[in-house]
Amino acid sequence: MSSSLILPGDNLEIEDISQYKTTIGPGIYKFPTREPKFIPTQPGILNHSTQSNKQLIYIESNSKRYIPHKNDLVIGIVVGSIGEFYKVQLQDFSTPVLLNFMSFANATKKNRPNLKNGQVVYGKVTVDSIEIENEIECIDEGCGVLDDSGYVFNVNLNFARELLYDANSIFLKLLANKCQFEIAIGINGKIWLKCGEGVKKEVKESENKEDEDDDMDIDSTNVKDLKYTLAAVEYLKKAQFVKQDELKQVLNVCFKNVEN
Amino acid sequence: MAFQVKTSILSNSDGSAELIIGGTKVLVSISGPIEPKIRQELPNQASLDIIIRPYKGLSTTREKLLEDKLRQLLQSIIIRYKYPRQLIQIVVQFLIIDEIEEFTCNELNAAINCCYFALIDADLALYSSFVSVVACINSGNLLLNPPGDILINSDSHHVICYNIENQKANKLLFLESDGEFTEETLFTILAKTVSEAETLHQEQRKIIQAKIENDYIWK
Repeated sequence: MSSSLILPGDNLEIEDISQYKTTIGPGIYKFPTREPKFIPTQPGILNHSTQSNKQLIYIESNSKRYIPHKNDLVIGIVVGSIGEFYKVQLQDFSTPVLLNFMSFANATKKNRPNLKNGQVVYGKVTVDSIEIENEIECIDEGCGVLDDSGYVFNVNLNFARELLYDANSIFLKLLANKCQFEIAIGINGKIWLKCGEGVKKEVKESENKEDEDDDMDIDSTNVKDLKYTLAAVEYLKKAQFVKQDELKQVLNVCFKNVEN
Repeated sequence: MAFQVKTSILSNSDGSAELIIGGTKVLVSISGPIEPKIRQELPNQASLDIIIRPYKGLSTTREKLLEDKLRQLLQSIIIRYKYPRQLIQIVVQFLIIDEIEEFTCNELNAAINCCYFALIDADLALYSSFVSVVACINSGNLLLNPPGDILINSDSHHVICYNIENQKANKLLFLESDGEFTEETLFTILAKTVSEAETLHQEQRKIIQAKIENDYIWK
């Protein structure tokens, strides 16, 4: 790990850019000069791979603030609307991104989802230019409005990437041993999680009176799902700060009170 | 002179660092890039909002002066064109200081060095690394990192900040001097502090290495 540590100002040891077709990723800055020059701008682990006459360079590092990039899957909260667009907040205090009324699967002028402030959406970034306002869409499969019975919480961006991109990641596999869950992971460090039926709203009074025995059952499963959801959230939050061999212990601690 | 640094200690800010250097302890928090107020917005680059809070009482013209000096340095080191129409907010809180009110050099030095670690923690784009050194001339002798009581009797004191490129001190980014001195003395000081800056940078690397390993502790 030590060999590939790179800091801003260090020499970037790459192949000659005039001969290799170079693709740069996060952490590399290209000077907007006639003679292209690349410098590392962020501290982290340098990843550099070459293939015939192409090369790819990027720096892997952790951060908490998300900057939108095209095709990223993100979770956002609707905070308002302007004209034809919803304003969606991807992180507290970040500039909101836009979500067109038409950017939903099967949306037409007459039939479009009516979102309220505070609702959570899962979408994909389509416009990521830093010069103009960014845009997301909810057309792909799996995208769209996330229901209110899930729980949304924040994690570090590097951890969110690990969970979403690494299919063999141990964190969710371990969690699956403890409970059934539905999860949506946003690259912007937001995770939406729901165990069983999740965090249900209070049952309406009128329904309550109709059949009391039934409601007792709903309440107990509801409380159980709520407890499992919160335990799973606690586990994922803590998992960012422990070594992998301590992971099982953390999992057991989080679910200790729930399973009895 | 060693740094004692803790990074990511404020969970609600995007980047933070606490630094102890000599008798000065300082805490820096960075939020950004975030949405600015309309009056702060710049069309083609990020705006910097720097707030310095003294270790006791309210901020005065002395802190405003320090803010200006820090801004002068940081606006040339952060790649602000990468974050147009955004705001980067930097709050510097002094916790313990070791100099009387008439002096600012130890505080400025600590603030600059701590800002580096906080910027690294916030993962903001920087043109290069930087490190700052404070020195004073006391009856003809050069003394690095002078404590407050020696500073009072010194002839002149200097805060020197170098940018570090390829692990070598490259350019002089910032120089703040006060007192009586000749051009010749100043050049000697600059010549002598370069090696100090480079050793400090090696220490920065170790600290950041540990920080990054800690970030990926779950790997």
